[in-house]
Amino acid sequence: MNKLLRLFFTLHFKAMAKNLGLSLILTLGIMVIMGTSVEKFPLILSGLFFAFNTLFNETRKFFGDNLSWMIIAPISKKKILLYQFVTASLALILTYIAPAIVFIACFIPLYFEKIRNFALDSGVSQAVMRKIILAFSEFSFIPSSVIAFTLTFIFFHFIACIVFGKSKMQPSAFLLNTQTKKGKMLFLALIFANIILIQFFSASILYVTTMIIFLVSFNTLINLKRDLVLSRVTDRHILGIPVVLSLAFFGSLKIYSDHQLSSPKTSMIAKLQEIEFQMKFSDYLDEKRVVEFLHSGLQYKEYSVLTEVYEEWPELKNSLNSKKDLVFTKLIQSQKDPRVLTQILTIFDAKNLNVMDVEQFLSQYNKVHKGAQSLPILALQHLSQVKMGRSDLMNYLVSADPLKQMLAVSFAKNTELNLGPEIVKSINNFNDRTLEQAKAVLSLSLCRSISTVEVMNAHKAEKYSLKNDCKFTKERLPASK
Amino acid sequence: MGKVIEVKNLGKSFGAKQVLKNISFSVEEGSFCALLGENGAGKSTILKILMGSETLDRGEVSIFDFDVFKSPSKLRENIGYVSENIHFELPLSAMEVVDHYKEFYPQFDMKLFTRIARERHFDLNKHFNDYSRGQKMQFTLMLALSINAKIILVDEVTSVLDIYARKYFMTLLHQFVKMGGTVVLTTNIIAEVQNYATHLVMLKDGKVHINAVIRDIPKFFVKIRKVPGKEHDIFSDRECYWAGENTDGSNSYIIPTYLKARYELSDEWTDRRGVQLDDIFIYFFNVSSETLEDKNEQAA
Repeated sequence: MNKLLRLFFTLHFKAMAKNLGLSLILTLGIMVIMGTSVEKFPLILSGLFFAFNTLFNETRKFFGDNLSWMIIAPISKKKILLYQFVTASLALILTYIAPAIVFIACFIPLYFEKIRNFALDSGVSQAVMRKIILAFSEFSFIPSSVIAFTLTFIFFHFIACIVFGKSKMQPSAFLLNTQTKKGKMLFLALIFANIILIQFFSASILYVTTMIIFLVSFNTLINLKRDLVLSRVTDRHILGIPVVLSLAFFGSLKIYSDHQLSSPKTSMIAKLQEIEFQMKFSDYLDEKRVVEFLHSGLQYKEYSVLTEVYEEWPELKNSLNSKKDLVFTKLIQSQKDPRVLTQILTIFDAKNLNVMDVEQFLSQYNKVHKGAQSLPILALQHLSQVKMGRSDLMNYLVSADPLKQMLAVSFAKNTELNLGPEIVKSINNFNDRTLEQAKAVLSLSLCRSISTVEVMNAHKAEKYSLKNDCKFTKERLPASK
Repeated sequence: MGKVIEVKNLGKSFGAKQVLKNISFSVEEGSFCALLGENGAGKSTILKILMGSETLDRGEVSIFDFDVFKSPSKLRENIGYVSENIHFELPLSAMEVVDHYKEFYPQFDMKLFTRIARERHFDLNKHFNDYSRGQKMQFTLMLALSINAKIILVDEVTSVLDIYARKYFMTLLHQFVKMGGTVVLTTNIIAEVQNYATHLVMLKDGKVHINAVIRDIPKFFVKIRKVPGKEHDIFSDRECYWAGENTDGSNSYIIPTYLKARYELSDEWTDRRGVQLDDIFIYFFNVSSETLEDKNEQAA
């Protein structure tokens, strides 16, 4: 390889090694503070490595800074120009490739066991590709934050140029110069604007703000140390400051995000963003907590958002069902709105529910809807699929609780239970309101075992005639009184 | 000995200011040429043009008979250039810089470099940017001396060096010349010219005022002495310049040789200490922009 190119790449790799070291320290700090699992290590490390390589790529200035000795060295000027172009292009490619290599290098050993197992089922190439694609889709989160950061700065720089006049802004100052009074003011305005935005959105924006604070403080410190002409030892100590600062910010970020999640005032969208944010970094946040955060104090108007969440995120619903015993009671008891309570019930697969759960639901429903005489059709349809014993249902039928009576009626379609005769027997115990609903339920309940008309006639005539197979037709109906 | 550097009718302007006007001189192989001139006279510009790192407006500049702007870059393997403006902005230690630098110069003498570094008590593990200004100059001088060049161009760096370093490197450059190398040094320090240079090119107002071998220069001037109480018309001549007061109360003056003949000055007026280069330097910075050649022609 050419001498000059070799020198350039030596420097470039040295700078990348420095960036990697810095990223490693930060990643470990973030993992400790945010409680991130080892599985997230490659993602965060490569993301930070990418950010550092993009923003603190000193080798970009290699040719400009070293032109004084290069131009007198026995190298043709045309070659210098050519090398500058080639190295600038390669440096850019390396900036993107190196974090990906780091990511894969960290990822494969961690997931080796999983990949191997997966490969046994679906073939190696497919498994690896799937994992890598999945990983890269997550990996895009941090670069996108960096891009957001850069775009924000370009925007603010543009505003600064308009406000203060282009001539007063350093043309080379791509980032705001925080060493000037106006620069500081703009920087504070940027932070303030972000804080306001956080009120409407989430910690994701706080995350971007944190990145800005970290990167700007880093950049400012680099400028400052150049101006002060510090010794190398002091230099290294100073570089530690932004690392400590950023770790402190990540800590506060975690606290803030937790607060947002547990606060009843936080909107559903904000909560979702917090969860998405925390799921990226923290493994303290398991599905059980996600469910609690999402459903606690849920407002009816927000339920549509939750429905979308489950549509978009079926894994959450599956996970929720698998941990039903842990979360069901807490979720049901936390609801204040009967409509939401019903919706929450439907999240759980009816096959996973038992009599205790049904009791729990009915009890809470009575609590939040005092004097309720009937259950929503949705709840009845869902509960009618719960595996319940005949004796329980018969008890429900004869109980004084209209909700239980209705629930038992909704089981009429279940031919195995053969509840038809019992329903007809108990019908006289129903109050008018319950009876009306029973009519509706039976009309809608796909009940093959009992006819609504029959029930009504039985009720009115106090006469009934049912056959055990419950396959009634109009012709078979007893003559009305 | 042939000419290794030849500058013909060189002209260079920076904006409206014409720094170099029709400059012509040549440097022979094995000579130590001093470019002397006021600040801003264009000395450094000439060296930059010789290195091809500055363009020229007109004229021709050649090294080893190659036009510097058309010559192959390989030619620069034979030229060492030392200037305050050379920076190694590399996050490497000085030793690492040398390791990379020597790859550009196949004839790099590592033994010589380490010997000089040892003698100058250089810590090569330090970063280049951690060196002081003087140390940076010494470092670039060490590199220039170690590349086994045939020509070394030194741009006013000796003024930055301490007295020991200056003497050390001037001796090394002198040895280099003795071994057949050629040195072109821009300087304001007359002593360096006096002790080491073999050839002097003096610039003023963008022109070459003196272009001569050092030992011949005193022949063009005479130093005269004015004792208190004695008068002569020559002291009121506009070409007679005061060169300093002596301890006995007399004053010395410097005049071109032809003036002595014009005034038929007897030897009793002559200052026995002879003409020094700094006297000539003073003379030229006081006279009009006419060159010595112009004056000699006029006198003839």
